[in-house]
Amino acid sequence: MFHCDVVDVAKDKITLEKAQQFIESHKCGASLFFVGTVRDNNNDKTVTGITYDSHDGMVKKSFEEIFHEANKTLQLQHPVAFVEHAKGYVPLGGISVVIAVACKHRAQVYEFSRYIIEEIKKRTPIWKKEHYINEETSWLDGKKIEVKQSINKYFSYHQWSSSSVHDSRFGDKFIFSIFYNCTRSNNT
Amino acid sequence: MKIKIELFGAARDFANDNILELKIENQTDIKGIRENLLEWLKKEHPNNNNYSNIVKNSAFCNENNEIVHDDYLVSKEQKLCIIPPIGGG
Repeated sequence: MFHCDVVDVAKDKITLEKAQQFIESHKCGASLFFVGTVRDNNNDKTVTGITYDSHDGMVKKSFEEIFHEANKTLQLQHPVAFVEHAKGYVPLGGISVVIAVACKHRAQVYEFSRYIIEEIKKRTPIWKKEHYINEETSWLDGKKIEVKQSINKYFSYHQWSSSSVHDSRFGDKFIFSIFYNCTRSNNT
Repeated sequence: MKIKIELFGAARDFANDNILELKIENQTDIKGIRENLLEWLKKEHPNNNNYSNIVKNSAFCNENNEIVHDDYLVSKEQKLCIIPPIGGG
């Protein structure tokens, strides 16, 4: 089970209660909550808040891919995840992201939660504009998205869409997939 | 043809609106779109190397929310999104 959303904090708010309700399951013996909040200092500057910008469609797609990849990669048992990220201005101490996960056993929830937040940092199109005490603002430098799509798409697409090709990454199917995805990426 | 570019992150500072419109004479690819955008920035924000660097380091995505490669063909009017380097969480 999976839920994800981008929450416009001017209209709604991210709550742990909602996350708790979603991940409750009698099949799971362990749950874990990760809460990201706005801290007061970055790069020796006093931070008063952060404005989060998001490409909502890509963010949701990215969250779903990460969930499916985690499930496959970590071989999770009864995985449940709730991921919500803020969009808009979040003041000091405010919640930017909640990742609530549940699994059958405790060891997996730590791996699962960590996997999700690290992958969000790497590839989910969300941007931060910091607000400082002197009323200045600054977009933070981010990580450049790698556009070697064909190979990345191969892994993300096939890892959770087909279990029969996982040992053939470097064989004919791999080469075919690069070609196939290059073709798919082109609108001709 | 007209290509709309929706702005995100640091690229939102390029214009007051969140969407730019580029007029392209012939079909092109993402590389060409990038060059057109750099030309537009030269006119609108001369000497702002920071903006140019954002474009050079950005990816683009299509209307299907797919990141597209530099050789992705743009042969009809459409909306693309500029995806500057990311950093959420």
